[in-house]
Amino acid sequence: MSMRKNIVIVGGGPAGTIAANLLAKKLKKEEASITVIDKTGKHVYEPGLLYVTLGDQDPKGIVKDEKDILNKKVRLIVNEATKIDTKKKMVEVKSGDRFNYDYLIIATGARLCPEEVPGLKEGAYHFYTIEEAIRLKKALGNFEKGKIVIGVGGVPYKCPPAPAEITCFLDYKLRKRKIRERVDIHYLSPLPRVFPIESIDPIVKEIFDKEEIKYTTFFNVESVDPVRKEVHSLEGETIGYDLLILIPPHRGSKVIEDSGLGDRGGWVPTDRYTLKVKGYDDVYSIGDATDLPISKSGAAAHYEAKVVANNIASEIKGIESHDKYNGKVICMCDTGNKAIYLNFDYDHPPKPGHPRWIYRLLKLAFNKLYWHTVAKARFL
Amino acid sequence: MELIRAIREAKVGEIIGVLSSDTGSKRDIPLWVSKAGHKLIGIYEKAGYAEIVVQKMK
Repeated sequence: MSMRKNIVIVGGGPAGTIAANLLAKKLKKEEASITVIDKTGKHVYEPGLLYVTLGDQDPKGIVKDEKDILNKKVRLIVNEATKIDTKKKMVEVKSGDRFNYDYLIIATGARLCPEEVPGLKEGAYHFYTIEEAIRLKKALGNFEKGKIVIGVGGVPYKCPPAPAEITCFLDYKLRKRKIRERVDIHYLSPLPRVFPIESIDPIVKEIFDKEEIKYTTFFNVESVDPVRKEVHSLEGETIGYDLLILIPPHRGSKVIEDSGLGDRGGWVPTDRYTLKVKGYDDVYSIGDATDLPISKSGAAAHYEAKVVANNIASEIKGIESHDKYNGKVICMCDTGNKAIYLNFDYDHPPKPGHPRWIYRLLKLAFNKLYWHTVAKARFL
Repeated sequence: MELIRAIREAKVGEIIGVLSSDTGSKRDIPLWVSKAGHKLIGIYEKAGYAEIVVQKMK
């Protein structure tokens, strides 16, 4: 009789939670134990942050206790993982407890590092945490006239379309408030184009041109001067602002860096198809934690979690399975009152399509349904 | 993106080679180099990829 396998998942965000819930559905208690280790025990639905800042989303509605989302068969440890030891095959947490694994899934996400851009913390706003989303909401609510500059503090960052989304959404809200003619909006892109995905760039440029949103490309932020209210680029340009929204630089989690598992940015070197961590057969990485050159997004986390859960469950049951992740991502990019539908994978860029109100409706519906469907591994 | 990181970390005068199989890089990198005030030494076609050589000027 084969021994019960221990599956340990570090990180209880979308990737880790979906993987845990799927594994719990596929495996019996006698076949495997499933443990999720999460620092805070709180699960935030991050696509909702934009709507906390510019919509009517109650911040309480985008965060739930992880214990209420996880399948009852999954053990939740609310503690910070401090060391992942792949030689001893164990994960240590802050309290000193250790968890041995037969299979490890790294789903530790990305952390924000605003301190990497001098002046960013003092001079800029963002909407990548609940606290900051609320702070920006207040600042925008009080903004009556002047120049709003929106940019990116470093790449990669979670949700590549988000800066363009907030730009379009902001334009729309200012027009509704009938103060748009008193506000200049200037978008800074670190890339040679406005939108990260080449096939969609012309559509977003068209919106920016129509709505008189100014843009500068190849603007890689180097520093912010919060006193003079200027943002400086590596390319030698300086742009003045009255209100600055800058997505902070991101790095992989501290435990990845401390465990020697990450690359220069703290991202985990991951096989793009099997999602195994390079050099390992029993360690996988999913979600924002990987070094894969794809959108750090809930959609990628969702489809990656499916592949890894299928393969681990099959291996435990002694069934052949070579499920592969094909780079699939589906998302709707909000443009204010409509949304652009994106559906792409490694081999197929998204087909360009204009914004439609139905896609925005679907996005808003998903914001509510996420907790009852995808998070609980239902209707995947 | 990798080039930008390498330029940030390099000393002035150092030469960086970017190996890329992405056809967009051959167009985008020279544009960025020109805007950022560095020197494009050359683009060398290899089997299945291009080597783009840049010198950090400031």
